[in-house]
Amino acid sequence: MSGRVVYFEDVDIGDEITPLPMNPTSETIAAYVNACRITEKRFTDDAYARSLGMDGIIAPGNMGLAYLSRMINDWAQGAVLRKLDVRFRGFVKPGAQLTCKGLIVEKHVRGSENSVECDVFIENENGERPVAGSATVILPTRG
Amino acid sequence: MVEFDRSILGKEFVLGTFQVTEDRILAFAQAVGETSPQYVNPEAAQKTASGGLVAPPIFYDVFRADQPPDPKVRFGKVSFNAGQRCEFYSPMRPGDTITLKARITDVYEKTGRTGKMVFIVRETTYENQNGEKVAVVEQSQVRRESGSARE
Repeated sequence: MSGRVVYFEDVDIGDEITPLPMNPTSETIAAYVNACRITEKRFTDDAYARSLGMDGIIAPGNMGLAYLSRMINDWAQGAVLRKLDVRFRGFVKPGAQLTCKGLIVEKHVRGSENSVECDVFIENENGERPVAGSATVILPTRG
Repeated sequence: MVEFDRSILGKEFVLGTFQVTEDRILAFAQAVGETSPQYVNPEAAQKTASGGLVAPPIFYDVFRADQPPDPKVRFGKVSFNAGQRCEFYSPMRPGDTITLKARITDVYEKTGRTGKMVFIVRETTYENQNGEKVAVVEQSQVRRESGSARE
């Protein structure tokens, strides 16, 4: 979904980014793996993943980044993601009910490049955050 | 201290040059459910601020080098992505030719609740055909003895 334009002047510290559900399945993980031509089998082969000591397949870490990036773009049309810095603290597994979330924590005026610093994370139904970090987003300025 | 090939630290390796195509952008955008015209609709994208189809930021993940620089860490049976710090300077577009340059910037060990871990930090620079840096990605890879748990 393409969101409305969000201007720098219209956001405040503490504002939430519109959350984006992320419900990975073995099919959506396979689609990502195929699009990126990833050859590691831990993302597609349960038996192989178990041989590594895991419960089964997991989603590639970068798939979470791609969803966080999508969340920002869906929230604010015209927003430019300048920086994304995340840690992976847990596995994203098929069947998980996850939500990408974000919160504006700082606003910076730098001439024509006005940006917001955001806390961003992917949260599961128990409030745990397998992916968490920060994003710098440039927002358009009202003419 | 963990054993590894120290001579590799800081050395830059050219990993290869890759083509950005419309098909690969569309496949990537579709795989993550993007719906914005600039990522999914070449025609409608012309009327957006990007002036045509562009790749979503994380598209850099489609470029996979056969032989990334390897510090030959002598520890751990499995390795996972521990974190990623990406900076994006301009979007990739169909027709772009992207060259990947990578270097190992750090190797260090840490003991967590699940035991010893070794982190390998690799920085990859993505440059287009005009020599412009379009993205820089610092990836932290963790090696551990088992894949059963995560910090």
